[in-house]
Amino acid sequence: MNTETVIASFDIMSKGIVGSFAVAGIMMLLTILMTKILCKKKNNSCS
Amino acid sequence: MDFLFTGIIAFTWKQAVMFLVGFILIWLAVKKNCEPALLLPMGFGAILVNIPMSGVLNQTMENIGLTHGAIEWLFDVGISASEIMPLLLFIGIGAMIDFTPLFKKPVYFLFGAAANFGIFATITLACILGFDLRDAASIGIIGAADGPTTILVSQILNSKYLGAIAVTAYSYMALVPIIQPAVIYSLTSKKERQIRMDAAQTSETPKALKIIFPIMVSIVVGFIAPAALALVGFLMFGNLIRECGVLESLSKTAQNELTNLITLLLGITVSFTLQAESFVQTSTLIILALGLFAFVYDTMSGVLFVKLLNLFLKKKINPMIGAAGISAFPMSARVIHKIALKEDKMNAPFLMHAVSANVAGQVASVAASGLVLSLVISHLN
Repeated sequence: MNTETVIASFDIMSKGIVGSFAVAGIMMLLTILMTKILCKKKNNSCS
Repeated sequence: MDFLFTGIIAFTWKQAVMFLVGFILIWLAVKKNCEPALLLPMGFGAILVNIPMSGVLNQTMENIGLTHGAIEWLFDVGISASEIMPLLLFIGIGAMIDFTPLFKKPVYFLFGAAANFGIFATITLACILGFDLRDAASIGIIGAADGPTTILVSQILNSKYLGAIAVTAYSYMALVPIIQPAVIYSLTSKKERQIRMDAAQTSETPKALKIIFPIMVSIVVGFIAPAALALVGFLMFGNLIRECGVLESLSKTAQNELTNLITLLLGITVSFTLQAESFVQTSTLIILALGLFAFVYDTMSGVLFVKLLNLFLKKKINPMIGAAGISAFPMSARVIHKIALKEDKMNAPFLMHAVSANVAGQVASVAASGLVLSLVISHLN
């Protein structure tokens, strides 16, 4: 076991989990925002 | 008459083991219907590449010099040189995915992210077990539950275990109906599994959203994890072709002919990595165990994430939906829906929720793989 590699893997794990949630959160917010804007344009016909 | 026995004399016990692996893969494909499109060509390829002096591999012959083998050439050109084979397959997969259920439940994007924790946990465990960072990251990507992604990332990171990793990924994807229910039953109570989900909104999704979505995902993931842009870009390109509404013929070609053609070649091409010397090692068994850990951890984290959310929600969500956040699409959604119906026959709307989480898992696994690529590359530099 290489200690440096293990430390690097923990760094990847923490950043990866935060990054995954960041991407998911941005996608979620953008999807909600786009849906609202596009539905408003269609006079709320899709809500 | 010695020439008749040259091959048999050169045959090693490790090659005999690979013959057995080949037969097992073919048996799993034919008898058990486990990912037959990939496991059958891989199984047959495993036999071809392990025959001594096999003509499907490059060989140096006395008085003739180097002769080129077809499978080695396919691997060099289709996977090693540019990873183009898995990428082309991604166009087909993108053209097959309908993101509409996810637009109705955008919060499920988070479930996809949670159900990919297995990737990161497995990378750490693999490092603790002594694998170097490239190999550990490639093994961790098995947790993406997505064959082409696994092959692509392992190849970009130049892992020496590509063969074992590909076999493990496809084998466990086929075992989702066994792995996921076992984890779900161990983590949830009957009452939790019986939580009824609301019927889906029947409102129409704006067409513009369907067109903007693949572009939006490519840009967002591209800026956060540029190393994954080929992966995300090709997937979303396929989806854009599907949703734009003016390329129906291309969309159908991507979904059928392109996907079939690449799938046909991908399995036999990957079998290049199933050569005895590199496959018959203790590390292969460890990779098989780590792959199982990745799938179990993915399912566990998905379920536990929803249970955690439920602590703060008035209207509880069935925790099984979290497990559908893995990328094995649509198998995971189907398996979990089956459990939901077994627990409560009136829980039919559950399917739409499971499909939404499963589609989110597709996006999340690609994004997570991109993040792994970027983070590993930055650590190696």
